Amino acid sequence: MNRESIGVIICSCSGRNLGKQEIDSITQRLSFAESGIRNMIIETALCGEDTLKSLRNEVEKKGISSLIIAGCGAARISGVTEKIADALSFAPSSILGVPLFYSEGAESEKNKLGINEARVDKAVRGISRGMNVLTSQEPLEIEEIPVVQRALVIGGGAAGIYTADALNRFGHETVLVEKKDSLSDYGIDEKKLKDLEGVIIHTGSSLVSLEGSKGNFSACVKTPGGLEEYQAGAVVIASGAPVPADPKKYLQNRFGSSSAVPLFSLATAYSGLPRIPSLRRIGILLDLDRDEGRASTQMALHAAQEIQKPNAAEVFLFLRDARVGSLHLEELYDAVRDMGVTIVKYSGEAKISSLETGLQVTVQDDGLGVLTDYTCDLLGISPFGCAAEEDDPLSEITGVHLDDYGQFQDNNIQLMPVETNIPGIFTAGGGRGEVYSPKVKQEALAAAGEVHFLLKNKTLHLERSEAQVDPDKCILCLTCIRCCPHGAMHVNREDGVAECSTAACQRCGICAGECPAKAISLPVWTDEIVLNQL
Amino acid sequence: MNTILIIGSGISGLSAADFLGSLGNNVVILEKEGSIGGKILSYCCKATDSCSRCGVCTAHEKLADTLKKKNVRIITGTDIKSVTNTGEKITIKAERKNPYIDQQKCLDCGACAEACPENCISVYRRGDAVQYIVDYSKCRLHKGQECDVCMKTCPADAIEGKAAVKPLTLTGSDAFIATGHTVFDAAKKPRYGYGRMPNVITGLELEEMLSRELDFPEDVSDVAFIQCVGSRDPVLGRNYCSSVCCAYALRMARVLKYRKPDIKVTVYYIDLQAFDKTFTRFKEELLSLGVQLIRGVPFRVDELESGKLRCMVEHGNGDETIAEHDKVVLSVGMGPDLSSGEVAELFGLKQDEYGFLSSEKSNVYVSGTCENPQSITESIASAEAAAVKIGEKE
Repeated sequence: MNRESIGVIICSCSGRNLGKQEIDSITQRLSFAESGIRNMIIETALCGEDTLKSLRNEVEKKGISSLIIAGCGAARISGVTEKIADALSFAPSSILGVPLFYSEGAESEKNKLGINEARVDKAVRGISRGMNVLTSQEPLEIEEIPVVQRALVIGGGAAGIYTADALNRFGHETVLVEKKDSLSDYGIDEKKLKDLEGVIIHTGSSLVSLEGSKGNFSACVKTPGGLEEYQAGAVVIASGAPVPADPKKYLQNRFGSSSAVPLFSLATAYSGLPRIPSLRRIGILLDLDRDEGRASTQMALHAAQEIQKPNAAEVFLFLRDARVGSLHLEELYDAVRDMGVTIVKYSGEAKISSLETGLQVTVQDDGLGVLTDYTCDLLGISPFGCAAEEDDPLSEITGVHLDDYGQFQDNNIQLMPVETNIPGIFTAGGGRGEVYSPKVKQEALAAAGEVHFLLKNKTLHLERSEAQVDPDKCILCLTCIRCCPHGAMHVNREDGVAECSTAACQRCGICAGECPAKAISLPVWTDEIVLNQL
Repeated sequence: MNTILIIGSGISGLSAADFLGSLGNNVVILEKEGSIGGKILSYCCKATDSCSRCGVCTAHEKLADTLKKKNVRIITGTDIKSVTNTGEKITIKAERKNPYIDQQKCLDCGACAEACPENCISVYRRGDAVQYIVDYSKCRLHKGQECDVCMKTCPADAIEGKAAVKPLTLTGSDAFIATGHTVFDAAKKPRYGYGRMPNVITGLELEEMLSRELDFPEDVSDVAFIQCVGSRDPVLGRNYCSSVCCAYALRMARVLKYRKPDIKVTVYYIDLQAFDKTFTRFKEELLSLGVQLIRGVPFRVDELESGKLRCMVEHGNGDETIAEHDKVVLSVGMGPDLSSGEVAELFGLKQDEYGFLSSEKSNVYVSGTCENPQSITESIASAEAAAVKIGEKE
């Protein structure tokens, strides 16, 4: 964009903030600056309706096609730039607000009369920088992408069912994919299953591939009846806690004894059943490989309560800390302790060794400060405390990052609670880490809300600011496809070059930095603009 | 389109407003205080050279986003007088304190703050989140005098303020209660000397201290955190874990160590709550930085003649840990907001034994820390979840 077509408006709100002398000084200094500024407009009340009319005339007369508005913070925060863009029918990106924060420099009264050099300096710097940005920036094309009116939910546990149910109520076509042969009602307090009428459910099925980006994913689902292809606007991963495929076998491999069982089954096995005489000492071990939270604690306390209630066996609960951070969990903890369950808070690692008739747990008792052995006929272990056996294949298929523990979603506050590194893919429930059961529903609804937000518009209007691949330089080494954290790069099979998706690109610049052939550039942040900003 | 009335403009109320506003609903937020954003705005960012995922920054973004929404109106300084709910329609009669600054019309020119003869208008500025806040206690209008300087000065007509209060009537289809919490008053645990000993402060005061200045006082080289002050305490009628105090104390311990590496930091705890997705790593990092984690909270804090504060912890095996600290930070827990009883009565809500709120009405929703103690991300999720339920109804 050339400098002649850029106008600069300095707003001086009835002259209260910048004095006349100061404005003169700014004008003078800017017109001496490199190439000069041809179109300087001084306004006294930019926000008024009358001003907009006269501004339109002036802009037309001078042939201005983009504007810098230097004024109070309104230039940035109150939608003034949008309002002016609207009135002049300019593209929003061709108007740049430069806030001058007059009040900052106006601390001392005496400066009001003369020239406050600091203030003038700041204005000159801001406007020059704005000029540099506008001159080196080409207007962006707007791409209209249709949003596929369908959502795909992976996982038929509590989180998946609540998500699918909410999406169904919003009126979005929803496909639910569950690995097991039936949906699980664990952790669901209402009879929801029958409400899923209208949801397309595939049990005994799994996602085998996912391509595309926000608004337009294409998924391939392996069902008992063969492969099914689905287009979807958004995806929710609600794959649940990392339960090993065969828990018995896993625990056998891990501890060399079948006396270790998953905590889930321990709790259900004991509810309402008569005592099992051979099992006299039952242990529940939390925080095995890593610290657990409220969900595990709650599950452990319930199990302990169920076993202790009919006095079926002596119960030991081993944990590093009692994670009771929720209303009424403390009361449950107190109740379980008062029932006679032995609670051992340990520090460091817990060691488990196999005995002929059971297991031995060796822990450093934190209260007594001594190493103690406990023998148990049966030991319950929760999946959240165990390190994952291997990374979830869903991560590879969807490109969603795992955190340090192999759980879905990076540990990044900007993404929490339910977003992931891939725009358009959300995650809820135990798959993203241990989630306390009452919060699972909240997360599921939040994820459904985000999906609804995406699907409710039939199209996405996106600025074409994604990374650009120069087809002449690209050698298809796949570096960009491997390094893109947002899954935005893919191969254009027709031309045999890499290509970037407008919807998925987050303009981080990693691909441009990594490309060995220097074939990738970012349209908004060219080197020239970055240098100008410095 | 429906109008939704949100009570409270903290992180939970703002998240709901942001979500419901984006779906096209008209939203009115009623805020009791003179400023928008609630308590979270006084908290500090708890990053060192890496983010500790406390979530405080999300509030600034939510505030900026909500202020930009044209279908969200935020009314500060509001006292609710009466509520009638027919099940279809909710009518709220309220009184708004003047001068009232419409933050969405405000141009951030600073003229009102400069012009106020009592200096009672201040600016809050974090990135795009900008608001002008009136201190009613200093304002002439509230001292029974007449004054309209700010109103006349404002070039954008964003300030209203003839009389001291203005009656308002608002109607909507649904009400969203997000009135937040009040922290435990540490003076109610006199053994810790809060209020008597100047070097005993609360976690909140440390938050404010760390957000205000980068340098921790020179002469402070040993800081201790005491956890569970006013939490997990049946004697005080607060037999629940406030769930967020371990998070803020440990994160601030990390910040202290980062800003002043030779400082000694001790955390006295009962149980450390896992607050982060990768909590074990976080704990390991703290230990490697030299933060001392001691199980057991001191029975009392004694002020020595030297000005040091002595804490003693007795362990299960009879051993004792005695240490002297320069500053003791009390990790005070969340309790129901002081206004909870009033809000419950106005909107016909249920209060549990501790005073936290829940709703059984089909058009009144409760979210955030007025429901139970919860973290920032949990508050956002609970607000979005409740907002989704409103969205589903249409």
